[in-house]
Amino acid sequence: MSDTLTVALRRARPLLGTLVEVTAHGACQTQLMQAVDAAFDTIALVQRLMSFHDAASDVGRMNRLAYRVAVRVHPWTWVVLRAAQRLARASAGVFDVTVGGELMRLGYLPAAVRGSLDRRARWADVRLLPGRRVRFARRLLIDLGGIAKGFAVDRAVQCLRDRGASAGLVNAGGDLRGFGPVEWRIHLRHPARPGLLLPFADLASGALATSAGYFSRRVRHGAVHTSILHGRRRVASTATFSASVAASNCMLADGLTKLVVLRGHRACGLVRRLGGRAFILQAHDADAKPLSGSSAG
Amino acid sequence: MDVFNNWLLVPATAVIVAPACAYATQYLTLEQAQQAIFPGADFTQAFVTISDAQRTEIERRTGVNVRVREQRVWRVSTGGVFVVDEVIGKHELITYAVGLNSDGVVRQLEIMDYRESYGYEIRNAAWRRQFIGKHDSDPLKLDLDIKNIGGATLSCRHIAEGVRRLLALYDVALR
Repeated sequence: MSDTLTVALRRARPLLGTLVEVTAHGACQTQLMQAVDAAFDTIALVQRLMSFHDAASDVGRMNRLAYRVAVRVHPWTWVVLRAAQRLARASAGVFDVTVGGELMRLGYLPAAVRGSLDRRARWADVRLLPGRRVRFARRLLIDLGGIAKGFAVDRAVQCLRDRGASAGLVNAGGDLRGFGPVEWRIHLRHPARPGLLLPFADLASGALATSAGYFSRRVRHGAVHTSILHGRRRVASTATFSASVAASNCMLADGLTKLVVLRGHRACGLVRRLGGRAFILQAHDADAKPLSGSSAG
Repeated sequence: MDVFNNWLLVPATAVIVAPACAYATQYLTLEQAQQAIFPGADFTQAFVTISDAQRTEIERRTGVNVRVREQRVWRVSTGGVFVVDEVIGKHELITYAVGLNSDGVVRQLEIMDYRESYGYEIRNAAWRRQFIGKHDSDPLKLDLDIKNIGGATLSCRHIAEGVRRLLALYDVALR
């Protein structure tokens, strides 16, 4: 390790509905503390903008109003919405942030609006207009959940870099991204025994997101389901494996994990085309199988 | 892609055989948490015991059960209070610190300790034994401090409830 890596800080706060952990290395303790605080502030801002639960957030405002009037959103919300729409188009609607209504009905999200939603509404009904304005063509609810979390990790990492950290890692409940001359050992949860942690990879620079049903799996009408929904068919995933995707940024990585959870090996080609690399951890043997590309780094 | 060259992937065989059964980490000691939330201040411990009437009132206001009567509270020289609290979920135990300004508003929250355990693994020695002697480079060890989990942590709902309970405690017993 070089001399610039003399101090390390590691903090955790509850944000985005999970425990967010920020680790930073650098030369100066005071500077690092400010960098870590600023990284948490950045994540808190993303939460204020994109929380489904907060009626005053951009997402809350869109869900209440965008069916009737165009709603102007923050530049960051705009970035996430555009990424969501790109991924929806590329996946022919398997990825779709307009599943908020179904998640609400399944009890994964709190009741957000009065009035009935249009069950035919899909991603293409979210219209992105000039001037960062958003309009819904049908009555629908969006939930930016996972990709907003990935975006928050990306912004927090940028924040650490801007404020002089020489290396760092931000982990928001399984969406993580590292940078700098440090190899971060990443562990994955066993898909059937989430308390069991399996060493998976050493991450130097880049993002890894993992999606699985282990904390959201529920039995409803005799069937097991999770909170990950197929955008076109509106059916909850019953996958027993976990899906991890490595990519250059965490927002993309998180979005791609949903495709892998929903489509399994069939998502392989698409994930690769979109710049990610997927891994499936099977419950029966906890064996990591690379889906695309070889397993050697 | 450039990013893949930065990945050193553990071979799949090593992935199978090197489990660790619990996750525990300390982020901040008591003093570090105090200085993180109220830099430069002095702290005087106040031993707060919650009475039956106060407990009833806190539970009525928040809908959150008060399980512990003794609360670790410090008065801060620059105003406000510093409280250490614990929340227990199905599988996790979280110790956290909250700083409240003198007007009772949350100034900052920091996680001090996070511990996870899954009883069936810790109890089930036979199940664990299958891994012993097969590990690659990572030791099989309970309470191993594992740095980074690429899978969701548990929900932080319990912390949110804990903060609600502490805000009511402040109003009822500390203000």
